Amino acid sequence: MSQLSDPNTWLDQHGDALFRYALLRVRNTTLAEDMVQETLLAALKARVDYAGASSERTWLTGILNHKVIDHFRLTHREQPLAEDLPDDYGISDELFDERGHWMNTPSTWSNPDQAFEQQKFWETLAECVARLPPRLAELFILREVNGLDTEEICKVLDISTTNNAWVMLSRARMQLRQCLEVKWFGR
Amino acid sequence: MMSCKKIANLVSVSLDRPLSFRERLGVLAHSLICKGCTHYNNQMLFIRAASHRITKQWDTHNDGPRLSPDAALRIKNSINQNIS
Repeated sequence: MSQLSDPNTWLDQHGDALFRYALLRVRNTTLAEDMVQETLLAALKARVDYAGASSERTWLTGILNHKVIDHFRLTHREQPLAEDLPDDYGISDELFDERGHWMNTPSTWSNPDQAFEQQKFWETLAECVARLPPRLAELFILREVNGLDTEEICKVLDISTTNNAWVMLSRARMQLRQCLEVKWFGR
Repeated sequence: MMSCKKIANLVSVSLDRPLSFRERLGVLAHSLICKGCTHYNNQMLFIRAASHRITKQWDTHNDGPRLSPDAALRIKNSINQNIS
């Protein structure tokens, strides 16, 4: 069982971590700052109900995560994801010739494991996620950063079939790969 | 033989649902003769591993973006006003 610390210290202890968590997902500095503020204010109100089952950081992150998911749900209701897909596999036709062969055949990425040791890599990854079209970014984040399964994601983002979600994820990963290839692996 | 375009899609789909026997066989047969799709598969696995790790990475090492001093001050003030 853990106990909460003085709310006056929350920002110093967890502010940056909560901000990074929000920024990676909503990809907008002002919005991420607002979410940190809303999270801490919500936590202030809810602190009497804190059961101590999780750490303070985990508890606060949980509150923030609810706000992120609500935000995604709301923006998708206002601006539904375009599900009319221009090609069969969700992968840009520019990347393949008319017979479906690679125009530029992928080659090996050198020392990918070393990337994990470098702080700059993580910023590049976040930047590449932020460069995806907004709806694809949110789909990708829910799947690969938050680890939701496709059915749960379809409910949050109001996507009609899991098949459409798979096609869109394929497109998101393809675009992210292109971005990392240029911005990190230097091709 | 399936095209690279179709294989690239299946490689991504395999991260979201189990492939059917026929799909797995298609990917396997194609990968034996196509280095490009094998590299693509490895890159997809790399992207997955990195995405799974980024939250923890920033949390553990306390690096990555930080709140600006202005935002921190604003949030601190709003907490102070609301502590009862």
